[in-house]
Amino acid sequence: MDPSGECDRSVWASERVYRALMRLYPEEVRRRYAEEMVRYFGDLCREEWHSRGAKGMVLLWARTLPDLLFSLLKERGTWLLMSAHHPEKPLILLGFAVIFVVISLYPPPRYVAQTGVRVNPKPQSEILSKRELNELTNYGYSRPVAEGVVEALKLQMGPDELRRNLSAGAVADRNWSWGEVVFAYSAHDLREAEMISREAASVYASLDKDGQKALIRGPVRVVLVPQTARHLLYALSGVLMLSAILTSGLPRLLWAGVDLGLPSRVGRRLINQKKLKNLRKRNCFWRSDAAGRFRQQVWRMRLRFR
Amino acid sequence: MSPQRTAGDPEQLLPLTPVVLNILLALADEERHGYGIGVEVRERTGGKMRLGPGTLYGSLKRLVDGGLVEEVEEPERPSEDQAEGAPRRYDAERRRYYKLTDFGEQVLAAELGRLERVVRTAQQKGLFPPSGRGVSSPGEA
Repeated sequence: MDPSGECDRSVWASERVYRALMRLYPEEVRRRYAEEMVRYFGDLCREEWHSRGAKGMVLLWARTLPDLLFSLLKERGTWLLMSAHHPEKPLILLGFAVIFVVISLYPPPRYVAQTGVRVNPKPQSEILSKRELNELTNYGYSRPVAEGVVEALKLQMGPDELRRNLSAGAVADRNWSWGEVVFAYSAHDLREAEMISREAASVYASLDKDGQKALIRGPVRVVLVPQTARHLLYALSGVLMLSAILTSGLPRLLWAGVDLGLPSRVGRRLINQKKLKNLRKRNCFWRSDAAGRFRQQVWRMRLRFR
Repeated sequence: MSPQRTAGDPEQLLPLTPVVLNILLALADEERHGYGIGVEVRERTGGKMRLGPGTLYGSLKRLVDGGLVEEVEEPERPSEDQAEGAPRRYDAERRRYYKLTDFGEQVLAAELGRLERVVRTAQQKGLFPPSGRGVSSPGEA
């Protein structure tokens, strides 16, 4: 057997295997150094073959595989870190982050339920003075006043229930206008806002039921006021964050598997065709099969006629 | 690609790893291609350091990105390495050569200065040369 031919075949096979393993490296490393690395490995193969023969090739592979594994992990780690922390458009991402932080400083969206209760235009001062009603309206959320009001009005509702309904911070807005008391309850939950607002109004409405205190009468009116502006702001922040994510390296992190450069048959089975098409369109990770086949043919011809 | 560092404090990059130090030493006297660097390092270290492709080109990539080394086209030279037994040259493709930059030279000088200080400290403590404690160095004899 021709020793030179055997050497060439062994080296060719080793180079081919090493070239296949190069697919595991990140795309940037492959683009910049794949040919050089394969050629360097081929040179080492020839050297070992000439000095120690097949045994030298085995020893070379025994040295090369751990080297490949560790450098691969290092490059992959570097690539992932760069993808995560060095997005393609850092200024845009920074702008989005600033806007998001500013918007995040706003409280979450709240719903406001307003309950209006008609008041007798000529209140009977001996039952509840305007001052007392005003006090209830303005300070009803504080415990001592609430308990005092319960006693003064002889409400059927217990103090605990009243405190729950008019708990501290729950009553966001109270308007006193002659002839009507408006309770507005603000909450994150629309149903909670409506319920508490109705409960607060029922405290007044119950006076009418007793027939003893004709101070407040009329149907309960509930107005729900969603805070549209805040909804819009949060929707905007969501859009901005989505844009920020898309411009960052996160999609590249998610698609790290694609960058492994799997053979097309395996890749087609593993990867959604539509997404793959998009990736190819953007020329991100995937080399076309035709180009790969062409390069392979050139490589074979070069070895054959060398 | 990350921007190249062309200036800065070389001390910030110290200490260098043994692989990087040996690559910089290999490029100190002349520009070389990857295989030339590997052979030079192996011969200079008596075969104790054999750079695999991943280690060599991973380090070169970082050195290029850091501005310590730059890639240059293959210079026109007589093909002296076409001798018997030597690796075959790919005539159809030009090799990529690597050259030390000014910043790379500064970093190498800083690292060598650091090593010199280490050796001097070891000498002051009588630990160097390691043949025996308190043995004077050859220069003092």
